[in-house]
Amino acid sequence: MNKTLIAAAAASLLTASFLAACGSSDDPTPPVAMPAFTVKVIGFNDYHGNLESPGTFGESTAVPAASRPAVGGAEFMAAHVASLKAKNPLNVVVGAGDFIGASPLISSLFFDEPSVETLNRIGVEFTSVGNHEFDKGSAELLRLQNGGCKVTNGQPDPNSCKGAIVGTPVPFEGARFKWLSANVLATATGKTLLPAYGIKTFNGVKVAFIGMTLKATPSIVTPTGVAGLEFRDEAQTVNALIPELRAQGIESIVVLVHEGGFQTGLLSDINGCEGQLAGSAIASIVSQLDDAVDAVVSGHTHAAYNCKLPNAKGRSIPVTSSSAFGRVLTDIDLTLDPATRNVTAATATNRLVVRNDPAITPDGAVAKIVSAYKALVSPIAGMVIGSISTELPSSRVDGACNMSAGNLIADSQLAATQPASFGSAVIAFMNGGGVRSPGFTFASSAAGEGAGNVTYGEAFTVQPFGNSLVTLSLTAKDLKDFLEEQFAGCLGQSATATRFALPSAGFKYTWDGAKACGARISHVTLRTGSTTETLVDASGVVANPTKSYRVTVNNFMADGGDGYSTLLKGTNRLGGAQDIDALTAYMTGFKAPKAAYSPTTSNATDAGTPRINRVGASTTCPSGAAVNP
Amino acid sequence: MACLAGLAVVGSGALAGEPAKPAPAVTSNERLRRLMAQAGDKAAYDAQTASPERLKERADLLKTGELALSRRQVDKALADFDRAAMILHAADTEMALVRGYMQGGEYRRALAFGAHTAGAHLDVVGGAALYAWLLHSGGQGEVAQRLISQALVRSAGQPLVASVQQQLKSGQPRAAGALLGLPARLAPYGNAKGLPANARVAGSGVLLASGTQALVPLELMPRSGPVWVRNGLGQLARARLSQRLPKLGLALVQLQTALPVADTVWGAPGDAFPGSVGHAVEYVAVPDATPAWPLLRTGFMGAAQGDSRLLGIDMPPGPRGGPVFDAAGLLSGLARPGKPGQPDQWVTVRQLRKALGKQVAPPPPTGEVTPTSMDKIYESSLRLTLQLMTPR
Repeated sequence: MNKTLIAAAAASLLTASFLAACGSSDDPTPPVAMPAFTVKVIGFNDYHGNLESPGTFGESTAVPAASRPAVGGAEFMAAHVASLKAKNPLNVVVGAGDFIGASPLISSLFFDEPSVETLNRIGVEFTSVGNHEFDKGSAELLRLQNGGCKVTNGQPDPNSCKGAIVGTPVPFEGARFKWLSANVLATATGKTLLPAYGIKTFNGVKVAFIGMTLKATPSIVTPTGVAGLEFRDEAQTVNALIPELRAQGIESIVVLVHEGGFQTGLLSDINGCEGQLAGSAIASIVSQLDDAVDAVVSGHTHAAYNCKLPNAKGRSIPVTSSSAFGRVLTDIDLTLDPATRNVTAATATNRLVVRNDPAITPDGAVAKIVSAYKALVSPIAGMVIGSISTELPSSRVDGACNMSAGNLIADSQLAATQPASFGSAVIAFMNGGGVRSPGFTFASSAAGEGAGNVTYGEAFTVQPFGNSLVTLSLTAKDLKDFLEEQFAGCLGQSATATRFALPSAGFKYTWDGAKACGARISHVTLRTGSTTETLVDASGVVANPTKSYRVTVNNFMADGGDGYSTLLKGTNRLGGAQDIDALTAYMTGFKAPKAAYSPTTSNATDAGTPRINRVGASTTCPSGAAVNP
Repeated sequence: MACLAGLAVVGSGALAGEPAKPAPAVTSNERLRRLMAQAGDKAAYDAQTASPERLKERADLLKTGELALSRRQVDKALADFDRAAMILHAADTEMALVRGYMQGGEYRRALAFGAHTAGAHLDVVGGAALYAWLLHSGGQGEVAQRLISQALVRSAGQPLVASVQQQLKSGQPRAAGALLGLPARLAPYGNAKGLPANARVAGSGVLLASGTQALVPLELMPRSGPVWVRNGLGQLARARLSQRLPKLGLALVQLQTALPVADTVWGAPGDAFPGSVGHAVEYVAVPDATPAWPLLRTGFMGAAQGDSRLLGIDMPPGPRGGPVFDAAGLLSGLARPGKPGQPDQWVTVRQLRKALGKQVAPPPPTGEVTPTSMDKIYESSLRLTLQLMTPR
């Protein structure tokens, strides 16, 4: 074993013995031989729900506008934090308040749940409360901490708990980080609203993070937001906690406080401290702090600074702030002495969260959440596109397998592709599985559009796949085969799947599940205006097998989806609108003051009878392997 | 703690500038970093953060910034406002910054910061008024109305908020009189040089890709003489009739001086399908020539009727002429008023290409297009959508 290996083995043994020694986090006795080590504290403040980049940084510098870096955005914050964390596995991500409130629409419209969800994924562990955490009151803050959906007027609010759409847990997951409020007490209990501090242990050494907002919070927040709360002096609060922390063996203490100051210079030196923040509230607080405090991460003024300010003993400690809106991160390296459990040195650097660093890849998962919320901000979801006279469910309404919602969709697809320039279609089919639950509901949703009205959002729920329409030519023989292959095990259909498609108005047929594959379909007719054409007679004979018809289906079906391989024979294909566009356009014909869509009277070509008919009296629509239940 | 000694405050910059990495070129971040480092070496300024001297300095910065903004010197204005913001966290400075971003065409940035101003300075109603106006302009009318109603609850009878509410409810909001007062000022500054005193905003138009030509409604063109066009950044150009396109109901005008087009104006590959999401942008026609921000309205494209297409997007009666975008933000055409009593129509990009050539709005080079956000579409429309001004 050479010297290097011997040293490595010794270090390994030392580490192993140390890990064994600190197996219990309650044991305040550190290993004697453990050398000093560094902990990385990554801090930021005043995120204010800026999931998207707030723009460039550096207006007040001499850097030309075109050269100023674009900064911020949750996906880049997550990536920069990850990059910093990769430099030191002993790390913690902290904040100094105002993570929510006064936020852009992408967060505020959804009660700042997007802020919390992105902060969770950025990796925040502790943050102080800020004044804006109280904008909507303490109960709402506790909901954001603990999770659960927003309730408005006794009903779940439609803009809360959007996880199913944006890819986050439902109900709203709540903050995985801890909001801290050492100086905010509930007057009813005399206890802090949220924990006063959080503790994280590194190599057996505990570091405490005390979180506070400015005591003047009640003067800058709506009274209802701070009702029942008392805000105490910041420095006195911290100093009173020191004995309690020391009793737990804690000597390393970082204060997270939502209070700040300004530099006196004219340039945005994010690592400067011109004027030493003299006269500012934060300088005053620090000047009263117990010497036990090792660093202060501050905020509130949206300024960036990197200071050393004197505490009550006149010793200078680092005091930082990282601008606002996710533009800057503060990177603090604390050197901890395991023997004393104390901080022996600190290095602080404010770093821009640039978006043009080729070494930084934006966090894809966070980017997806931001993108999904961005899409939800659009007002189109709540727009009424038309109305219906009754419930149109996505379930089968009879033993023949008719489905009201599927009929409407098929009708819309035929309407969209009837004009010569869009396909000259005469028939449309919609696959049943593509009509999503619950179909078109008559009752008003929580959005309050009114009973019978269908919003774009509701329509999208029924047609969420973004399929495009394809109009193709099929012969009468192909059409019969297509209808036959709806039955399990027939003409290439899966042996375990009977799948009925829904035809457009005017197209009717009868099926007999008691017959053999290929002989179940009869009475296929197509009514156009007052003319009814028979494609397949009562005996199941195709009248004119080679006659061609223009048929519209979605691209999933056109590609043989759901086992409809006959559709692959379709020729002269013409791609068209998206299914949701066709549905929207069709529904405008049933928008007030026009009459609502009625499944029984809106289509004259249906002539008041079902489109799909069945031989026999069974009321059970077959599914799975069954063909004649 | 007493054992904390030798704190090293490192003056470093962006994460982009790791020392171990090769840096063949000086990046913008590095330039910024160096500037910041230099600033750190300067002697400290006045120690008292918000001393009377500092407050005076702030007031002076706001004044010089506003003057620069009124001259559309956006960089200078933003620099002054930003410096003022570093002296005091105040609503008037933030509103000035928001307006500065708008004057520079940065709608999304203005909206994000305007949200903060409105939420953080509840006691200053101008913040809510400005934010609501911007939201409404960008197509978020419902949210804007809710916001302004909440502001009215907080500040009952406040004339600015009441006036904004009234304007937003009208569907054709117009910033005039007190609504142009500082610090909220609900409109851009605009160049009026050469505009006749009797000029009025007759309708809207669309700047073409070159920046030297525009399409406007034919019926709004005077029989002779020039017209003027102005974008949402307040930039003005005199223009003359170049070509009549009677079949489309449009006129092509030649601008005397080019207006900026930020990026290539991509057009939709084909006509938008009926029922697809669309956005129409236009200015409110007013009897004077006040600069304004355009309005975006969202809806669903209408049905085809022979060779013509119904606009589909709900708009109040008006002279139209503004651009129509699809969900991907591609130019889909130009809105036209319907005949009396008839719904609005739109001239499709296919028709425009047929009449004027593919350069009108070429389809994007990559076939794949994806939906984009309304605020991004509105931001690009600030340069593309023109006020058409003619003598009364």
